[in-house]
Amino acid sequence: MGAVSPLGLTLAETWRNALAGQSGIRRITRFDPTGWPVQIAGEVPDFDFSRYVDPTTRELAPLFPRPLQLGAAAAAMAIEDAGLDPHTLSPDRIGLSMGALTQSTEISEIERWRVYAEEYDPPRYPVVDAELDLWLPQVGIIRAMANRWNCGGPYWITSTACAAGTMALGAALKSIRRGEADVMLAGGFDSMVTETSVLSFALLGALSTRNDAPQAASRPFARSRDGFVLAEGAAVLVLEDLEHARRRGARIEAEVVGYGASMTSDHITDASADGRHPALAMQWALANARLDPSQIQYVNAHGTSTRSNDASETRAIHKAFGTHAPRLAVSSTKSMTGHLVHAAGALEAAITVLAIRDQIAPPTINLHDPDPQCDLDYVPHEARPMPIDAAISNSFAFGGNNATLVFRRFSE
Amino acid sequence: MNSPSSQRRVVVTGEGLVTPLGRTPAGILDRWRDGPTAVGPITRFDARSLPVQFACEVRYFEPRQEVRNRKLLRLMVGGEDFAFRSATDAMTQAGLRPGGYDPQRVGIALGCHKEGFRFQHLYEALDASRGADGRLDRLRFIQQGVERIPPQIIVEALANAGLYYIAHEYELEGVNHNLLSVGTGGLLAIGAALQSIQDDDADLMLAGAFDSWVNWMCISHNVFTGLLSISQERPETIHRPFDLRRTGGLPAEGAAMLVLEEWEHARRRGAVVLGEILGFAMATGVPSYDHAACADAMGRCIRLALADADCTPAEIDVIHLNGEATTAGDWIEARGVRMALGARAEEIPATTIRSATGMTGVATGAIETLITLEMLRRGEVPPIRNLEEPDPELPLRLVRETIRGGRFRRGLVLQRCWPSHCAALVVGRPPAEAGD
Repeated sequence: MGAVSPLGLTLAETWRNALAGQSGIRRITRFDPTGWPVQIAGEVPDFDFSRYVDPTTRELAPLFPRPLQLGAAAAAMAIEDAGLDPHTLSPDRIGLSMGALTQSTEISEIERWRVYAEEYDPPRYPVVDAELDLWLPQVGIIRAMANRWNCGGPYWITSTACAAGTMALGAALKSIRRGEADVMLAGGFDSMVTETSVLSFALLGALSTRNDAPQAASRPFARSRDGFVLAEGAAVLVLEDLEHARRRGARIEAEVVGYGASMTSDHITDASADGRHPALAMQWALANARLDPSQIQYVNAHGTSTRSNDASETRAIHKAFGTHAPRLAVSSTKSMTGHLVHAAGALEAAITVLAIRDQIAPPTINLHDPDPQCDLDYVPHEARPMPIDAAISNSFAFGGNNATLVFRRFSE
Repeated sequence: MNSPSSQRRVVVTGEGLVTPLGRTPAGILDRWRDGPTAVGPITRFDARSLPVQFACEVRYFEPRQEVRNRKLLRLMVGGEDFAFRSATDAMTQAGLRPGGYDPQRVGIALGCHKEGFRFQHLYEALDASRGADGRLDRLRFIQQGVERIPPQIIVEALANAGLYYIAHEYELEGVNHNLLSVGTGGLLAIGAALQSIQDDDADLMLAGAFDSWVNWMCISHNVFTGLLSISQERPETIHRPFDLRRTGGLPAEGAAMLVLEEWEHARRRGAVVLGEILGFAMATGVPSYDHAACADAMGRCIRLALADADCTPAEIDVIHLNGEATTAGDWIEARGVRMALGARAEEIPATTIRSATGMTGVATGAIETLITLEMLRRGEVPPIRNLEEPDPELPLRLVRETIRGGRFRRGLVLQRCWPSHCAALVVGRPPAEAGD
């Protein structure tokens, strides 16, 4: 596994800071947010992509948009962590499954492009070159990852906003189970700390405006929560067929045992009011894993810190887990990382695996005033050492896609 | 590779199309064979300064007549209205409406190529934010401009919005896939839906894709990729797949949606079965700039799709080629077919509708799947338009005159896209009719 996040330039550092209850939210530096309604985000500080460039990507790397850089870095670290040399495998046995979105166009570009279109007769248009080509993740991932790591097998680019990372892992799980690949590089990458993205979400009223207290802004399940905090980052997991992993003597961190996805189709940006649809994703994922709800100890919640999600998710967990719900440890690591959107599910999957490996549930920070509508055990403030045999990770998207992954401690 | 549950057979029970050549498989096939083509001057925007000024537009489509949900229509961009209407037609043909199925067992898989919200939404805000020098003043933008931006830009920018609109209309609650792609997305969506039904995650899936290349960004991008021709000859004859003088194609737009259904489920409710989806596979050429590696990937993905369909090259009766008509692309494709099918590649009639519809982007695979099913039902294979001098280095049985009266049981649909991804789908006539 590999990751870059607001909590660190590696997954290990991210995990250490998460267990310590640190917040990665700061005032925005990627553009000047003076006067903006939202001036805070989870940025990846001091990220230096040049460390992750190799001869196969050197020529194009300067043109990689930031999300792709973050993704390629996470993938490089994941490959290293897995001790895998992809070139020893046949290309048809390695695939890629990523959650991503087309790079958003910045205000200055829109302004510049508009001049072309409106100030000339006939209107002129910008010339699209190799740089704009790489804005499309479906192109960029091949250039930055497939070429480098010999990934000639299944290729899924899932673009389902906040659920994309989880759904990308779900697609990878399927490809391995169906025998279509032995190894899948699966995850997500995103950097929505951009003018147009911050503005778009702010206009919807979805973002926290707690600009004076960035580290306390993301407060999932708190009565005083006022929206989510945008963040950037990437996480990639190496999923591998068990027999294949055994043959090469790989270290196994955990087993991916189930996946479920459902749709909330009654409102595009509001969470499922009664939690019915997210509950379906959890129930289907558990059924897919052949686990009873009572066998789960930890839930890495979607927990965005918006009014509607956290109440809806709480109801959904009650629906899916019934009488076992109060016994679950449920935490939202978005309280520390912010919301990595297309990468969120991937990072949270990696965190869930580490929770199982280290037998410790990361905390939900900033939960000083619990919302009575949110009545589960959210592991407030401090990480909690506890036995975790199996855990789930939830993601629910704008656009209605709900997805849940189930992980289990690996045993023969 | 067969999964344990692949005894669940997947059939097509609904078809919806919005293409430059029309909207029914029969009508489209006739017009592909007899013309006229859909090529015309670009009318959607002023393209006079672009190197490409002709396109295959969907001229007959009046969005307000086609999409009754006005609230959703206002939010639709980039061909989402084509997809929505195609879904409506497919569901209507399949005899399905909300309340008539278990929404938890019905899912959706959509291929798309989404680029963001309409920039025009920001223009008014930008105009209200100019300093004395006429330039954009950032502070003024935030203080005075932003309030003029419609909050809907976030919804327009969602890559999964098209999927949501359809799911909303049909109250779908089941499994779902929203796949970004440059060109293979239509086949990927059908493949993902096939697998979802085979694996018992759903009984019924809406699957398909939409795209529109008739905008400056897609045209500029695909002049860069070399997929669009900048030839100044007679526009109707520009797109000539597998021809010695091929130079690329013309931009187009469209969508296709299929209702895929588990066969028993379809039989129980007495649905009319239009065809069967038998197998799917995909592959990526790595490294992407290596043509031989790309041909390898094409060959590999055809072999895997045949294996997935449990069928041999001898059982394939027609090939629907990608036919992007670039020098390298057609070579890679022909080479891949040859590698996978051996000498049989010279016997199977191979054609493509591409030179009649234009470059329909991500929608192509879904459109061509439905047209291939129509070819199988009719026993008729129309020729590749504009193919005058077949490239001798591409040893396929390229169809140059309509073949009629054949007994075609199975078809192979191929897609390749920038920069090196490819996918293959094996389709068949309705199971009962095929006698197996």
